[in-house]
Amino acid sequence: MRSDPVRVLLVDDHPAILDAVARAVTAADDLALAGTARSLHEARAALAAADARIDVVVSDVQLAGEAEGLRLLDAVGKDGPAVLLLSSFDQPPLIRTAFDRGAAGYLIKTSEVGEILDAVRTVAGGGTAFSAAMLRAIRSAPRRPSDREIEVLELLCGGASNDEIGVRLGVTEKTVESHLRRLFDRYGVLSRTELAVLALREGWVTEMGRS
Amino acid sequence: MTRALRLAAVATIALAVASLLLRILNPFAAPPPSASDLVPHLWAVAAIVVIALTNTWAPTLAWCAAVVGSAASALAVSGMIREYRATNGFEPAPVLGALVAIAVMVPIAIAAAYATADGRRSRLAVALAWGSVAVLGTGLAASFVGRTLGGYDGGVPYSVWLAVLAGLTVTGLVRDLRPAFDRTRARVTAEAGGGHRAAGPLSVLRVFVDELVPGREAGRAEAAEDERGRIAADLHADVLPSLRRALAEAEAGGTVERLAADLRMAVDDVESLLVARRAIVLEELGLLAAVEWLAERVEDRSTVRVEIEVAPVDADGGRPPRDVERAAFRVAQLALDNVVRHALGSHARVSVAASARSVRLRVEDDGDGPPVDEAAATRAGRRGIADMRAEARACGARLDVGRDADGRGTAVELAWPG
Repeated sequence: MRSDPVRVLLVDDHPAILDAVARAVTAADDLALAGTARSLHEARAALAAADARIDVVVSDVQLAGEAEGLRLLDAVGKDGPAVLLLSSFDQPPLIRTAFDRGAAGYLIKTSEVGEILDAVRTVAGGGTAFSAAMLRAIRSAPRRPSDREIEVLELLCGGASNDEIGVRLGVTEKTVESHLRRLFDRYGVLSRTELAVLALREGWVTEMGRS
Repeated sequence: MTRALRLAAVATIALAVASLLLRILNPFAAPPPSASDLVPHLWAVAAIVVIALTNTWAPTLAWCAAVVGSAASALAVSGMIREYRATNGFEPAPVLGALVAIAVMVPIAIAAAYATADGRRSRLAVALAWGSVAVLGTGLAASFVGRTLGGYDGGVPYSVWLAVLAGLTVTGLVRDLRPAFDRTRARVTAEAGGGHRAAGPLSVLRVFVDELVPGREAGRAEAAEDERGRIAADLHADVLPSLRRALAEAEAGGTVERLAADLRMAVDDVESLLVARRAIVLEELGLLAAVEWLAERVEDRSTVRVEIEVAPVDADGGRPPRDVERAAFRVAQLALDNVVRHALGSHARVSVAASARSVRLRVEDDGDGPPVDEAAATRAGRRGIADMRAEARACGARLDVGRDADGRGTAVELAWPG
């Protein structure tokens, strides 16, 4: 018994990459090419078309020299198809922003076509595909957090909000947010919970609720 | 100061002096002047002060001041002759009448010069400007002759005179401000980011005023030139050696691992260069995110630890103009680079406060302090501070370099508007 193939919209301004991925999608039995677009504008039009029925959008982060792939996320919205971003940038802030804005996955462009198709299947099934990009982005051995960062982590593990952490440490809430963003990016985590688990596991913070 | 502007300034001063002399010598035998009679003379003096203050760096202002100042003097003079006619019922001596006619033409001539000055000579503009001067001049001359010979008491109405004056001045202004307006439009379009939200009239005005800052264009050209030099130097110093090493390694039949390591280093260097020039994190996510990411990069590549402090700003939600963000990012980068390169300290603190209306970025370290002789440091190839100043200047920001609050280490601060 076969279910309907996953319908994929490809967005990339490099014809060579577009062609290569399009061919692979067409060749795969469980995937179908719903369309291709070369710009954010074309992608929006393709998504808005009445007979679109798109399950997954695979888009380059950078279109026409701008980070339009991220803007595509806003255009697709929460209820739209899953968006898998491809990028030659593996900078953690971009990956985290993609996650925050609702991307279902983020792959580095040097990935094999097979990896891309696997990620398409994963996000079509409701999963996420970030780990490979994160692992590549965190190339250097992670260093220990600074003393100030450990103070932030202790309060975070104790369940404090950013506001409370700021008050306790005598810094602005925005400074706390900044500390957390850097910790997220440095250790390749995407949520406060993940960060707290990591801090306890690595022994940076020893007791729950201490502070 | 251009020749045309110098002539206009001289004419304005001469007219102001002449009108004051007429008032003081009082050939019209008028009753003593009231306070309100002196107002035009005050305008003229104020205009001369403005010309003196602005002629080198804001020619637009100096020109407008010349028009306003000379017009005030001309009005004072023509007011005197009107009063004379009203009280005496006949014309003053022809020489006085001629003087007044000439005085009234001076501001018109200045405005015409402004409309056509400084290499903006389209034939049509020149013909229109000087044509209207000729018509007006002829009219004044005709009425002067008619009055002097008697039997005629018409003249050129004030409204016509004012209309010609205003028309010429506005022509000059439009031509003067057009480049700034074009730059404003380009910037506003770029900052709207593909146009999903239109900029409000206030922010457009803000950008426009910012673009009017004198010397902005020259500063930009200089900064671009400096930038080209730096890119060449960086390519030479950072990228070329690692590529050459990789090449030598390959030619000598070296191991894949060594080759890969050399190439990775080259890729890393190119990436750093790109980051310095156009960081997509900065463009897309803004100054704070870019500084955070920069701090992470510095910590990855050195033993320097960077703490970031974010000041609360008025929550207008907007981002500063892109060129200011880029300059601030570049200053942060150069300052942290200095900390790393000259092993000046092991801790750096970056304070950021950024909103659509103002940016303050401060980088402090715990090293030995800034170079005592900045010029000597620049000559010796330590261009960091000179480059930071160039970046700040190009976007209209101020850059201060000094000791930090405890009197140790170096503190670099960029403040916009400067």
